[in-house]
Amino acid sequence: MTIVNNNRASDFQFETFSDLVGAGEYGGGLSASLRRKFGNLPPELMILLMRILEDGQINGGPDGDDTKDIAKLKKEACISTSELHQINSAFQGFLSNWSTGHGSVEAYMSILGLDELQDETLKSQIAQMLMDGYVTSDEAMKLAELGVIDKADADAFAESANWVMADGNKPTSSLSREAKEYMFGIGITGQYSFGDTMLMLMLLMMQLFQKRIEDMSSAVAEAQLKADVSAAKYRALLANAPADRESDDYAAWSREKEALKMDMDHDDDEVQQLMAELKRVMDKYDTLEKMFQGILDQIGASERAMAQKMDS
Amino acid sequence: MIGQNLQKKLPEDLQGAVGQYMEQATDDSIDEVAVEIAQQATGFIDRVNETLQRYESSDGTERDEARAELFARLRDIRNFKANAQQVLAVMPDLKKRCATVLAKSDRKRKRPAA
Repeated sequence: MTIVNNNRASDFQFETFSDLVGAGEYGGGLSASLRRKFGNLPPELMILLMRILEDGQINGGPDGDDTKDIAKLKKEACISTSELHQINSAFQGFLSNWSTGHGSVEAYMSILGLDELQDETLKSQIAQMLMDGYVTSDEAMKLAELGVIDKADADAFAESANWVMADGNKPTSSLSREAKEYMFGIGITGQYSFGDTMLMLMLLMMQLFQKRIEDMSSAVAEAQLKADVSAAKYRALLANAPADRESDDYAAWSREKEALKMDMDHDDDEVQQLMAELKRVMDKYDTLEKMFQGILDQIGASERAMAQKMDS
Repeated sequence: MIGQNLQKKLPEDLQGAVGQYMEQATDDSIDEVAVEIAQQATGFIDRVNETLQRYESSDGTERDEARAELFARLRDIRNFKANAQQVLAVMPDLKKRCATVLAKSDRKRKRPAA
């Protein structure tokens, strides 16, 4: 979803919530800011960021010790601990606004990335529209006509806006991870459906396995070739043993035979190790296949439970 | 790459994300993605249960909204299941490749007698 707004001034500053979730792509200013600063953060780093912030606390709290995740994020996304704290405190400020029920329309506008529009008349029109906490399709279309969002995104905008608003209005001081992800513009579960998210992850898994198997196969083939060469050399040497066992030639031949035997043992060990590794990859594959099947069963049970309710 | 046709079903951003992730993949990536898959599934099931409870305990507009949400999730599940079956269908092929490499290497391990 694209929020059309060319008036955003701030870069990567988190003094206020407005800075955090102000206008930007996908309705989430943080994502836009992060992307401006870090380029396109890959999904796994965004997920990592979410995992750290999930319980509203950095390094500790209900979701446990974040040290490992923070270290990885710092290393791979060049994000500093103080920046993480800034993100978190801005987020906390927003949560307290929700929980006290103050500034809902303002907060709602900032979630949707509309609070920094320069046109005050347009802003007040939109605020009026959002006053009842619900965006109808007609209202979303009106926003599109006003050039605030793309027409093609109107329905999606209304749907996700209402969902975040509903989540934010719950009598609790926390939002679901899904809503946070939407706000942060990550969209791994918020912007995209569960089906798309899971398809992406499962494809990733398959491709990772394929790559691993191909890499391992090449390594095994290479090691095997090396072992074959050693064995051929050894075989050739055995065929040319000097007749006189007391001669210097025989002594030299024996030394060479021992050296070649050691090479052959070493190369054989390498093949063995790689094959054992490949077997481990296969075992992991089996485990994951069972996990996928388990997930499908669980999802199937959820589907049946839902279908039952729908029918009743 | 495996699953190219399925990948085309994804929104463009996610197609890009798959490519980007593959470029940066490490030995830990398989485990990381497995954890994420499990978390996504658990999260989704929790949300379904939550919506079901909301549907049962509410009335009027709230119940209508919960019902609409359930329908949306049901569609999502059916979409997921159809795609997942196709992904799972490529698994035996990958396993076969793995087994072939292992069998070949086992066959070749004939050492000359000392």
